[in-house]
Amino acid sequence: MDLRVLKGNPMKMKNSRRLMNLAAAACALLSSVAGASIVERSQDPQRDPYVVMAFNDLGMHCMNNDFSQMMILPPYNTLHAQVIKRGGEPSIVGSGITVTYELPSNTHASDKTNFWEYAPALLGVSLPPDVGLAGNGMFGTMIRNTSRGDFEAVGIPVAPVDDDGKENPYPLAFVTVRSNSTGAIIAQTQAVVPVSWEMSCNLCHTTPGETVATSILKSHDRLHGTTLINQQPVMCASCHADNALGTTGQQGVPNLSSAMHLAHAPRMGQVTLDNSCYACHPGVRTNCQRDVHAARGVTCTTCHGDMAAVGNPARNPWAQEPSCASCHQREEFEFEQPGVLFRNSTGHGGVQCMTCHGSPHVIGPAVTATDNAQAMRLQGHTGPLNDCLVCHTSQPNEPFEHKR
Amino acid sequence: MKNLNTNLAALVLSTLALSSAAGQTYTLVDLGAFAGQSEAYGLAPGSIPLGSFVNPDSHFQSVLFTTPETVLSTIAGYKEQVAFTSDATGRVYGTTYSFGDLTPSGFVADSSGVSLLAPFAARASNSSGVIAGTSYAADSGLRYLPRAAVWNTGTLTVLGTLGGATSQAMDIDDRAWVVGSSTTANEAASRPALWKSATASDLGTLGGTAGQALAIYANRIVGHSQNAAGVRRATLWNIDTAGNVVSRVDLGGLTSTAYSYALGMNSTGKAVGTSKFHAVLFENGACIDLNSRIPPTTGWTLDKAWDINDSGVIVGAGTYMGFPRAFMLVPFCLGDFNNDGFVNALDYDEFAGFFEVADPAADINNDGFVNALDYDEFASAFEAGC
Repeated sequence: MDLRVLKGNPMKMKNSRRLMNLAAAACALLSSVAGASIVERSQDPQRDPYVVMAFNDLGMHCMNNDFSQMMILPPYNTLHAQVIKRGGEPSIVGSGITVTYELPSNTHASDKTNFWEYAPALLGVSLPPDVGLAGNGMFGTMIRNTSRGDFEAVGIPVAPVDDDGKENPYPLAFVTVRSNSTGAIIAQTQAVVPVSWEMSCNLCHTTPGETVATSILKSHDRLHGTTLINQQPVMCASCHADNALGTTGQQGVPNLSSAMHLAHAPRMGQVTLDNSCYACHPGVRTNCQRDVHAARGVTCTTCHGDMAAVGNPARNPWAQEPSCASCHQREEFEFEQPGVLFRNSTGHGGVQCMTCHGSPHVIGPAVTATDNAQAMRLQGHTGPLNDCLVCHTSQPNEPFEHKR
Repeated sequence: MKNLNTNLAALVLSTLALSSAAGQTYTLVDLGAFAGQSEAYGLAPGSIPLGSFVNPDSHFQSVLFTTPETVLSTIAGYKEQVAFTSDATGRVYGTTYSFGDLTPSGFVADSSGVSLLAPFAARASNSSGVIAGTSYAADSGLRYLPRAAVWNTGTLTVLGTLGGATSQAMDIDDRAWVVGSSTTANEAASRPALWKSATASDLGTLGGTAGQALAIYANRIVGHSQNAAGVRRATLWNIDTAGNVVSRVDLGGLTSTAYSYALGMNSTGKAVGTSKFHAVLFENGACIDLNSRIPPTTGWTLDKAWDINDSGVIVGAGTYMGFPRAFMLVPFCLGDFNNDGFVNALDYDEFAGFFEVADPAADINNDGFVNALDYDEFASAFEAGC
């Protein structure tokens, strides 16, 4: 039975999908509970010989708005894409193609942030405008990562402002795959490249007549005997080790995550937000966590623990993160690979977990339409990619397995 | 906005400082004093700045920076709202949207209130209220790709591209010619584009790959484009009456190699923008740092100038107390003491009248005293003219 023929007949298609295995059905149920919707597509990506799925590595990237006095994080966004040759037995494609990315509504960055003016003082590098710390710009070619089985553009220096001037923390990247032999476009997709500078330090650091950064630096000097006020611009990670930036910090100084969380934990009583994490992480306006968990009332601390837990000096930030398997413990389901974070794990023949489920903090179905756009296009409904026909040209006879 | 008469008398805003540096002087007006984080994108008739501020609910809301401020009401279902432009009658246009939604909507605000226009991001208006912007509607493949579009009396028309899948519209003139950017068939960089109809034409660059046109008036288009070294530089495209590019001019930057962007332009060809993240004025072949035209002790850094009108009034966003904040620069001629547009004996007489009675109006240098220093400074400006 050629299911591609059936796709024009909704009733037959509905019947065919009854054959889907329990795993996929469970995902579909999750989708419907969270308010998934279905649309008819007039053009069907499932007829194409190739499919590409793209995703950001973290689900949100924070950056400073102003770098003239201090920097916590620079503009640095990483986009991945996995290309699959569709077939009865699909295969991940790693050669013979070129994968490019662009941000059609956010094509340049050096007029949106002063990062390039202060990068030499903060990081010791003089970067060409619109080029990020890993050498990638606002458009370009994604590089094959053989260990991940995907293509990636590391450190895209995107700022949360569209070219027309309006703030937008969820710009959509447009990813194009071409055949090297013919030059023809063989697959395209869209994925959010999330970025926000909504770090609301000003909720507390409000000394009249001083900038927020001045207030922060003076507080640090007063409490820790430093002279940061005289060393501007200051990169916090130059003293506090930070895995996000790859800095080792200074001996005896706590890592940045630990220092920040433990220093501020006792002071959060004065913050009256519904989600106090959004006092520092983006944010009340941005809503960094926008996934199926958010829709079901699972909050930041449900997975990450409280500030004391996150700030535990024994924790290795960015490397020790919540595990899906902490909550999802069903037989026959394997979640992350043993000892590997969700964002780096693969399953189902080398497919990245994020390829089907979305980025951390944006596990599908998301509450944001932009984050659901890729799934909607590829399978006609939100949620994880659970329609086998996204990659398979015919419905597999075997039950779905994450681990194979 | 262009061709608008300035009615500065209507503006009684909080004046921060007066610069008397060499060259054109400006009064710096803190537009964000009422709210904090804010940005001004354009000028309505009467030199009324318009833009957005962050409201108490932490969302962007449109505002006319009048006295007191005129805050536009929001539209149900949309959390963010930004006013970008107005037509000659004072109707205000902008975009309302919510973070994470796929399709923003244009809105219009007039005496009857605020209402939706069409599902597109409205960005610029010509004097008769034809709006250019960007549509994000899904195509037949359910792709939400930006496409330059024009709204005219209830009809939204999506324009063509340079061969790629995406485009953006940034400005429109009274011929309904639209400028912006578009990708080509290779789907890589966005190129500066002109639409005289639904068909796009490539304006070309200064030798590099990418660029974007931001403003059009008569035979001039300004924006930015990459040079052969890959650096974006403020660019002037001179065009003929048929819209063909006659020449491309590098408008300069704060250094010979610095990135620069032209974002707005008036009918006389003066353009504003940013270079090295300092607000700049492109005038007579020079790129002038507008921070050099305000006193150094204001606490402000002027980051980006979005627009300039024919009276020379400039609006944009700076950094004040660590946050983006809307500003307005009002040209001021020290010698034109009575502000009638001429430097003549009337100015001298008026100044002298205040000076003789030690009226604070004669405290030209703002030092709290009316003395010989003020007289000397006025006399110098009077002799120099404007």
